[in-house]
Amino acid sequence: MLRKTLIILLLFIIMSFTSGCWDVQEISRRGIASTVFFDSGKTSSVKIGIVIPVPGTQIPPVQGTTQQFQKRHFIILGEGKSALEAWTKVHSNVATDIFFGQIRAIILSEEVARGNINDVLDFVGRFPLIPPNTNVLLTKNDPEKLLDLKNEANLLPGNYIDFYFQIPGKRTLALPLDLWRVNSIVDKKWQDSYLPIIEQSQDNYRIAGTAVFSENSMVGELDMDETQTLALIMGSDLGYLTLPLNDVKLVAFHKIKSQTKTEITVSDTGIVTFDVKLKITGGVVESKPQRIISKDETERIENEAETLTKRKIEALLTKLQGLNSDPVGFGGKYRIKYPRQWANIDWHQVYPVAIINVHTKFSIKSTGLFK
Amino acid sequence: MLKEKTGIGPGLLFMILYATLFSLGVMQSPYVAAEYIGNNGYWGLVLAFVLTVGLIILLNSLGRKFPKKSIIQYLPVVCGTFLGKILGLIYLTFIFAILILSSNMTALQSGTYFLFRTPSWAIFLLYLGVLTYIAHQGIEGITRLAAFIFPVTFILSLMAIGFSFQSFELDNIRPIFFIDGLKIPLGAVQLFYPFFPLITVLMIYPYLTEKRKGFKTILGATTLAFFMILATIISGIGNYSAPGVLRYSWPVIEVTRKANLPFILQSFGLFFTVSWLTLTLTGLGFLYYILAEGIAQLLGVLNYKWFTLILFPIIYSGMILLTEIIEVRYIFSFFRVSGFVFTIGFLLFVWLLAVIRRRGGKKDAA
Repeated sequence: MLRKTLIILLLFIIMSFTSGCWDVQEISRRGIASTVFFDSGKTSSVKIGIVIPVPGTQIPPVQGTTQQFQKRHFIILGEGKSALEAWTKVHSNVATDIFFGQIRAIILSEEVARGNINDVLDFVGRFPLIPPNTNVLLTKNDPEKLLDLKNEANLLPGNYIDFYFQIPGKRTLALPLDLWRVNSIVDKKWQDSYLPIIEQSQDNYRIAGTAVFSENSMVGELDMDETQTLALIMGSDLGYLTLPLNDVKLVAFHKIKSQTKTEITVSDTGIVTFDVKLKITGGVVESKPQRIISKDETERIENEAETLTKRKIEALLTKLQGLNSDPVGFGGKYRIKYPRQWANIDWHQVYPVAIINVHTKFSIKSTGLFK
Repeated sequence: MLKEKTGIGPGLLFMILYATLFSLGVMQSPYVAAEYIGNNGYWGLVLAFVLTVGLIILLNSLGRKFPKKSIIQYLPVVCGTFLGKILGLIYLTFIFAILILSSNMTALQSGTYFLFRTPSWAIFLLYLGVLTYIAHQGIEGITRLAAFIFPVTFILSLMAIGFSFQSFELDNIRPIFFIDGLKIPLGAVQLFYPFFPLITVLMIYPYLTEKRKGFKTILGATTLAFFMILATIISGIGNYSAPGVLRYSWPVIEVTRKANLPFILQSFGLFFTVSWLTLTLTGLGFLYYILAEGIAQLLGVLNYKWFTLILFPIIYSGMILLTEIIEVRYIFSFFRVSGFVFTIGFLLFVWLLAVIRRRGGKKDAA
């Protein structure tokens, strides 16, 4: 009896120290951040903006009533010498406790991206609650104005971005990159980062194109067509391609799937050569003029597609080498085959002068419902 | 020694060894592999496992020489009374060090991810209370607890580690067969630490009911823990690459946290953390029991139940002393090497002395 009493007493004492007492927080006390953006401030060096949903707007209005709020989110800004200082200014502007556990997107302004993204993302990456799968994007617009926009679907910006990238068919229009993957690429040093670009278009967000980086700083951008070509090289499964056959004839493909094999050789004189072989397949989704595609024409189309994709890829790689940006990860191939030499070279001196030979093979996988 | 009413069978031994080895070994292993070896750091664990097989042979051999005695009891027989007691104390100090460091890191990890505002002393107090309760149950209670939690925790851990391969890139773990000087053997020394708890077998060998199955059981549990930890290292490096792993304080939590099945399960991180914490508390409770039982045998007074209470403030003080994560990492790096030297050296020394002095066998079985 005494033993049981002592055990019960001990349990009560332990429960009184149960850690939930310190860390308990009501959900209504949380300001759940949907998106966070980083920009350069006017007076100080770091500007942070946090998109917070308006409480009560996440539930649809009761039938017969109207939504009270025109927009479902608002932005709070803060500026400071450090990201933390800026964040505390944001914190002082809301009644709730800013909660990062459900962030869907992190947006960097172009000005910030042209600095060092590793430094910018260090602050947000140290928060244990931030989901590692948070999308990271770049904008050339003012991020405050961009995110303040009430998009046509009236979705929270973070949800809009998250839903966008959940659709597989959109991932070749702007290559998505999660926060953990950005950090991984930055640490690896045998590949350069790339971020999808978000901008305002037709009272909505347009997510297309890619910002490319060299040693953690933005050095250039690729348009949507170049992004799709980059997706081809990196391996895609739902890409798009339009093939003009002459001034009036064209064939367009979707479900472009590509598999890439890259071989590297280093000559005795130190010349680095990459042989990039791509196997691309696609399904015909448009044929102008509309016609049945015969076997003979299939061969011609495939040859033309091989030529076109080879030309696009070569042009893209030339551009990337000119920018000294290696988002494809050719450095990784060098490191795997020549690990001892890798430790002694500066990849960003070797990469721009490397020779890259491209070979493509294209085949039509399907023609849709029509022949 | 407090005599248990029954012994423990091979199954129970398997469960407790697996729980202890996996839980204490998994959390920092990708970090250590990446830091000391690099992208093919998994070879360090493979080499460490090969060494461990030899260790298990030694353990089993010593156990069979003294089937009814724990190491604290037969050390004076092998080495002489005074030296035997000193070595026994050193052995228990090593167990104490594993307990302090592991429980400290577990509490710090909880503080980082879940309990931001809870003071460290409260987390230490809570965890130590749980360990004390578990240790108080004795060897049979602890092993039955391990057997009870094994199915669920194993399945959840396996699923979490399996799904963590979601974004695995083969290039990150290549070149696979690259040998860069002595990095792999030296890395194997660093990666031997998951197998430190095997040394506790020397204390519980007398309780085994089927001693002839001892070697297979210990090897089986170690092999399962080895494969799980190996998969975690390969997943960690394969996802982040070796330089990428080094960014994180808790890379295993991160690699399971980012495993994300949309619309089905948002993140596996929490499931893995819960499983791991359950296994860790069981494993640490086991170590606490070993320490209490060892002290009782060494001093020849009271029993382990008393010592689970007597040791409480001492262990708590040890945990409180190390509250800075950077300090803990620093000490841990030295502990891994010294622990390797001690584990192999201590066992070899005792075994050789037993062989040379012809101690053990039938006359020492009673």
